[in-house]
Amino acid sequence: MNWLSLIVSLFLTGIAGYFIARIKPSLGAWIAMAASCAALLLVLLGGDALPGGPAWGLIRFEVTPLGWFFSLLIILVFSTNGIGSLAAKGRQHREPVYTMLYLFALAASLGVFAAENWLALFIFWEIAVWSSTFAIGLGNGRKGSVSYFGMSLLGSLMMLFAILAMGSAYQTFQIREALTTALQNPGPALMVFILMLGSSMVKLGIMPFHIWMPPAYTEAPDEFAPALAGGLSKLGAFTAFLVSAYLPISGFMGGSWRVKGLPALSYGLVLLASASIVFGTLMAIRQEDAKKLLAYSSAANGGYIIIGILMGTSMSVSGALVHLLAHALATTTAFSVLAVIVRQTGTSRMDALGGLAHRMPLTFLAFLTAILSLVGLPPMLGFVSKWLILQSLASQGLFLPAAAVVFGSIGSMLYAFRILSTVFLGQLKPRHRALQESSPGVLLSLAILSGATMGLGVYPSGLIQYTAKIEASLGMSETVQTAGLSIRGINGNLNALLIMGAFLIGMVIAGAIFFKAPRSRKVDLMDTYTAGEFIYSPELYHYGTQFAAPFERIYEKLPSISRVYAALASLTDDLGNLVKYLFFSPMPSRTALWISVVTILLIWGEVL
Amino acid sequence: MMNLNPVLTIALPLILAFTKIMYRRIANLFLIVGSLINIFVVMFLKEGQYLMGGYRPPFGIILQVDTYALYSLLVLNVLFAALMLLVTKKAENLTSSSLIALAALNGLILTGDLFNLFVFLEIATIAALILVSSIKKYHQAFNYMVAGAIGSTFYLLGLGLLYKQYGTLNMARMHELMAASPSGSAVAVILIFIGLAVEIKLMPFSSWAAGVLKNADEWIGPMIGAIYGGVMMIVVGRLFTDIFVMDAKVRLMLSLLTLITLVGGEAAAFQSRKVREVLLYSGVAQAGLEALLILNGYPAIGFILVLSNMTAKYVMFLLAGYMAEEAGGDDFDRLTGVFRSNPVHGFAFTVAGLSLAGLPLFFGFIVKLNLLYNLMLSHSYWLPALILSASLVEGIYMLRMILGLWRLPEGHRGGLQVRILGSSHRRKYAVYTISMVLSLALILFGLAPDNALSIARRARGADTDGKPLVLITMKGGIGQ
Amino acid sequence: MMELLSLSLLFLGIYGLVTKHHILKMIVSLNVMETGLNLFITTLGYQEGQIAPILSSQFPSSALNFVDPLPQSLVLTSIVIGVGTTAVALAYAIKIFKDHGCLDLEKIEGRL
Repeated sequence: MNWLSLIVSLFLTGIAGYFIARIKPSLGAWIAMAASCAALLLVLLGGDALPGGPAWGLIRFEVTPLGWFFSLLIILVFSTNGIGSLAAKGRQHREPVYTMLYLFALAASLGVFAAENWLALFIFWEIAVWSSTFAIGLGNGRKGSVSYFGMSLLGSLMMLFAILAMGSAYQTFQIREALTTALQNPGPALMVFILMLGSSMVKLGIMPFHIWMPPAYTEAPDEFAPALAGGLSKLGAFTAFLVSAYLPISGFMGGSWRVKGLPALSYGLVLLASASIVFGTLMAIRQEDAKKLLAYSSAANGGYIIIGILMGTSMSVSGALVHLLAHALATTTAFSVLAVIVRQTGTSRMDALGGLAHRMPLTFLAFLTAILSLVGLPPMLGFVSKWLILQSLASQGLFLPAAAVVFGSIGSMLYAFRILSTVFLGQLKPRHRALQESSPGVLLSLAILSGATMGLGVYPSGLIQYTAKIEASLGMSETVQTAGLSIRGINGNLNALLIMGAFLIGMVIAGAIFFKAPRSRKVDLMDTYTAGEFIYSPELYHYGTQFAAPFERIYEKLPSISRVYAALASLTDDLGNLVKYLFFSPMPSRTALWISVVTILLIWGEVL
Repeated sequence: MMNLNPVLTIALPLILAFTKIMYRRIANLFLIVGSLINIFVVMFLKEGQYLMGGYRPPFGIILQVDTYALYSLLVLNVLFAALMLLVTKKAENLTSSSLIALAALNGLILTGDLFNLFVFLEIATIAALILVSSIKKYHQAFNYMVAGAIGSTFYLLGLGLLYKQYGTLNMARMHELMAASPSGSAVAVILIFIGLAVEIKLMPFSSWAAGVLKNADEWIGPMIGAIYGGVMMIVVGRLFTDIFVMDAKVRLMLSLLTLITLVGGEAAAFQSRKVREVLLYSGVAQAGLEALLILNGYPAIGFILVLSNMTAKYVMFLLAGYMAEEAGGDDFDRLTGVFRSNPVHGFAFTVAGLSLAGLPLFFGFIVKLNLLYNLMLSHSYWLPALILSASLVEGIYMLRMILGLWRLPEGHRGGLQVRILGSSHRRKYAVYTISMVLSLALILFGLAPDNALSIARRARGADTDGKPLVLITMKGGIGQ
Repeated sequence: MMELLSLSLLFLGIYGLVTKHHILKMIVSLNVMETGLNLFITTLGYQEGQIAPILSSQFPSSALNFVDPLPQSLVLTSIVIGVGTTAVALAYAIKIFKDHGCLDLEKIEGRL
């Protein structure tokens, strides 16, 4: 088995799945699940020594440690999500074409991660874009898929421009060769770097490009949102790693213009990513809808990844890789849970939910791990990655980005715990009394995901050693070090197991108090007679209702980037209108007039 | 191996067109048989020059079969014959004009004589006018007629000036003389370009296209929107690559016109909310891009771009016209979700649209890739950037339209909403078959584009400045 | 002189096309334009003092004293095509009149 046959068979399974699902719709989800699980097995067993397979023209594969890491990540997301959505009864999910698009997106992503040259990478990248666009389009609403596609296309065209600029200047499309040649002949190097990183930022949803995330995440089919948020948006990080490893800014911007030891461009981009963290956090706090909240939180988390990549130290790169995994696992969990909730209650508005932990405790536990990891608390994986990134920021003395990271972490407590408590804690709404615990399939996938989040958080050494291997394969001179069970930092080591031990002790004490102390009496949500008033609508009892209302006025002053895009679109519309009015009148005399005017102008220009 | 004379591709349809008048009952048969025979003839054509009436080259009319003409003919005749499978009762009256149109379009590609070209141009236009009158929008057709008449007047005026200067109408001879002493011919070249610009839908002159194609049915749309536009562009490709010599200033001025067309067309398509309008304005923009490439010394890329756009546009206009007729209109709102109940149409339309927008897996991507690469090789960055911006806009409106046509209408729960039922079974299956075959061809060429690319290289080997064409192929990577 | 005259006829036709909205007037303008063009092309072949290119007993060989016959034959073709175009245009005019009851494009467009 090799990579080419893996991808080709995934594509073919997708096509076959479409036809089978047309005959028997319930089989579609099973095929998607089985194919992605088989791919998971194969990639796990094969390891990064899996051969790329025969070259099929430009389509050549080469499995690198970095590519393998990303592949494993995305297959994990797709297969667990596949297991989780088996029982889904959603309309969109039952569409035969969904199976095909799902597997196409997976296969194309695998193609991106193992591509040997930029053209193959781009081809698979675009296939991933359009197949996921159509998958999002299967959902409700009309904005999400179009803005996702528009932004993705912007990103991929930036990438295409950079690829062709390298190809035409250096006569090579080989990934490493092209970038290292650019480093030695820095003509278009700066342009290539900016465009490539820009396209990554679009995919990751970094600030000026984040606008696709909220509509796409909310409008995508509930079963697709986890794959999109956890898996597909990580495509951007992959190219960012490649570009910053082989074409580091310090390589072509050299000595001049340094801020705090970093080249000015790096520093500026780090600041941009920091701004994305702050902005994403602020916007997430404001949201009323759980999916939108997670979308803005993804924009913030993309910032951490980019900072880690741009810093370029062994710890930061390792931190970015770990954060990528942590965020993928956490968002997949969170969106899978939300999918369950939306399926049962029909809404993802936080104030319409509440108290669900009483009805689905296991789901709650999984969600809890995801939220803890998102916030960056031990003993979850998110803590390890944030620790690594903060360590390297601190060692460079980068105050502003470090402040942003800390702000993002604290802010994330605000929004992440809010989503946890508004959805799962508090009182159950009367109409939600009949809710069921998630189905076994969902629970299995949640168990895998949160097990990984927690397991790797407690015992990160293996993961860190692999990131060290990736760093070595990217040609970095220093790699992140582990010592026994702990990770070597700059001002101390991180022993996650120790932290876990401390955590456990705390839990034991808390448990003792909980079981010893007298139980509180449960009061029903609508049981308000002591308050002396009677409110019919359960939403009004929910503290999540208009949570951010007091701050709305502050938010109004925040610059809105989506307004810029809307202005661009309406500008294009206006231009189109003008063109139609001027040049496309149905009157023949107008045509005759234009022909004569243009002829006169052209001949005049010629005679002059 | 047989060796047929290319004049057959012109004469046969003409003869059939006039004999048809005597056998009205089997008119359809004439049409189908005639167009199929034409494909057959084209397949057995050999490259070379064919003299008409036995005059030596600079004097008589010659027909020129080179790779460029051969493959243009092949695509044209196949697309045309496919359209003829759609003939219905309504189209029966158009049999003669269709056959005449076919003859004239073949002639346009084949002829090696500039005046002969004018004749074919006029015949093609008159045939098109009669075809267009079948959609009953006579004042739009009148607009087309006036624009076409002014255009051909300009063409002839320019041609007259060239004849005055060089004393020949033969294309090859004209090129020799012009290359020797190009000065003074600029005005004539500009006039000829403007004359043809009307036909290829460059922007200030293309209002007729809006009027005609906005209301086109599944017959007129592909015919005027795809086939006519494509053939005219092939003629422009021939004239402005092989024959006319332009200085940098003229080139720049004409390029400016095409750039305005590209930008304006994309903007107008972005603003449109009707399927056929989107298609026609995007066709205008594409024409701008094609002409831009041809004028600026990338004729090979321009050539495959023309052929690939022609095929994609053909499929889209066919389906758009068909849907509009069945659903009684083509605004997005009316057609929302139409593909849900007609997945085959949806598939073909989507493939053609994605190919047109230049997304991978489809032929359009390969073309766009090579286009940008060749532009970049000559160290120009702003032009590729502009083209990429245009294709960003194009991708957005194309996908917006396609997604809208796939999306179920709001508040809709399962089942079928808009169902297209062909009024006649044959028409329905013809639309199915044609659109499926052509969209599969777009995928096939997208996966294995190397033959198509090497044909383009053979047809238009080096560009006008003698720079060799560099192609990115799927098989070998970069090569010359 | 002839060239300029014929060209001005051509421009007159275009002027008519630009300014008139009445279909029949536009058709007349088209014809004026075409006539101007045809005249212009005919003058291209004309050479002062030369004779018609007809071989006769008086002029048995085609020594260079003929005017260029080619433009004349071009114009013949062009005239025929012009007739065809005009016929189509008039057919349109009849159809438009039947549909809209008038021939003024401005009114028709306003009405639509």
